[in-house]
Amino acid sequence: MPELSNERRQWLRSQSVRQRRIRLTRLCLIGGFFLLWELGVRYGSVDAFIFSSPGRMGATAWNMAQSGELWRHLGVSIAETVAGFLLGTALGTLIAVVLWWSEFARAVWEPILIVLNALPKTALGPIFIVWMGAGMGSIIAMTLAISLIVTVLSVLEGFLSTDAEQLQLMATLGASRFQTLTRLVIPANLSTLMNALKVNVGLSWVGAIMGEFLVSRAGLGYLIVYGSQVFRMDLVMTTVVLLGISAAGMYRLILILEAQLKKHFGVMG
Amino acid sequence: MILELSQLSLVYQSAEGETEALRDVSFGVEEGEFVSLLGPSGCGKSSLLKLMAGLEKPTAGEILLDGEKIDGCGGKIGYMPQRDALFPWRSVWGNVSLAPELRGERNPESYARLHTLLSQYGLGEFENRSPAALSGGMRQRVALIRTLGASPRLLLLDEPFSALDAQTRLSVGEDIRRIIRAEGLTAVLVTHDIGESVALSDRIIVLTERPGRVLSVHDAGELRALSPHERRAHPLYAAVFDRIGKELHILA
Repeated sequence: MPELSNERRQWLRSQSVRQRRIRLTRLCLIGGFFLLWELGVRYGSVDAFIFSSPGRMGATAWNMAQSGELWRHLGVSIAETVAGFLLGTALGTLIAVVLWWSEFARAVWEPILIVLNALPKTALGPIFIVWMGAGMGSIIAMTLAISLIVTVLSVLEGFLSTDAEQLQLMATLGASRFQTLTRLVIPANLSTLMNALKVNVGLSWVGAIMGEFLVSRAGLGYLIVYGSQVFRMDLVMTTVVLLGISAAGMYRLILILEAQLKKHFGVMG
Repeated sequence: MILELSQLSLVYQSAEGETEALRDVSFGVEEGEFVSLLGPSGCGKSSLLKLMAGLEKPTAGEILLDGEKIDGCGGKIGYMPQRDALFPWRSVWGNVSLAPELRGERNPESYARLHTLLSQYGLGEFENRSPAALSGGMRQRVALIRTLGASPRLLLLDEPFSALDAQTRLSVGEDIRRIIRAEGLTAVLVTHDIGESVALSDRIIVLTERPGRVLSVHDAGELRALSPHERRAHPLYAAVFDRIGKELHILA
């Protein structure tokens, strides 16, 4: 480790001070929001029956965790989301590979994909229920429907924008189509693929919650619908916060995966 | 004759209509020769190179390499694109060893040759570095050695210096020329730079504006034995430069 210059040390210190200030302000903002909410309920005119309160949400979460309800519902939603996410990403990438491979297939499918992309996928929910019954299958189908087409389109676009000179180089070296895919097109599009993963995490949650709204007897979406029907806003609000935490956690995992992949593939510069 | 082009024509078809890129182009390249294709931009010289590389098919005429008709990319031709087209996610070694990897020839012999080439041309200690860490000139050398990994019969250079600054161009030109000579390679260079073509090649084939036809052929004569740097100081350099410049109506 080389000796750091004074200017460098000063700059590093100012950077870390700035980071700490940003974090602190953010924390105060969130803390203040919950504090105001709680105070408004206790001493002001905020109706806890309609708005719930951080204290009541905490108590609800605690009770649900004790009874095991929390883990059951959380587990169901996470399982559906992960299943839809994996299926949507894998299938979407596979279809993108096929369409990259065959120019003819691409020309045939392009307008169909665009129409499918424009279609509001939630409209398909009732159809899935008729086909697959009111269960997890329909919910995963919903999740898949929401993330699949976007994945195909974005990954395909990345694949097709692979540098022409690099493609020509591979061709003159006598590379097969498969070698071109694995040695050039996929590594060149690693960031496109990572972006697809990031977008799909969010979309899979949308699909899973949407599906649960329609059919389920368990899961976070079910809790929200059930809670609002019986007017237990504590339950609804708690679930929404839990949902936020779970989605953020899953996004975080993708970021870790991305960092690992970058290290492994040695994506430099 | 290692390479023979006879009555080559190329017409591009598109929805808007036809574009005639090349008309009736014929010439040959001797083994070990360095030939430049010189012409104004858009004269079809890059198209001509792509035909030789097997990346495109001619509308009429044929190209023979070692007496065999070129039909698609057979891996016998080394192609250096305009930009170096190195893969940034691979190390210098990962780039250079691409050809044996693609051919399933990951054996000590082919690797030893590449290691030798790298260290011979000043890249030995950079094998494990990222291409991003190298200068423009070094990247071009890496790109050339990557092409040599395929043991090509013929090397095609598509304005490989055009993305470099003026200083680097000179030294890279010198480097590439030296490597090509030392390895006993046959090369065809595409360029729009008269000075570059006179400094580097044994023979210069001047093409007309589109559709590209062979306008004239110039032999470097006694310049052949000299390095690019020595050539630039030689009186014949200016003479050949002048003649070509007048032909292309750049010089009055």
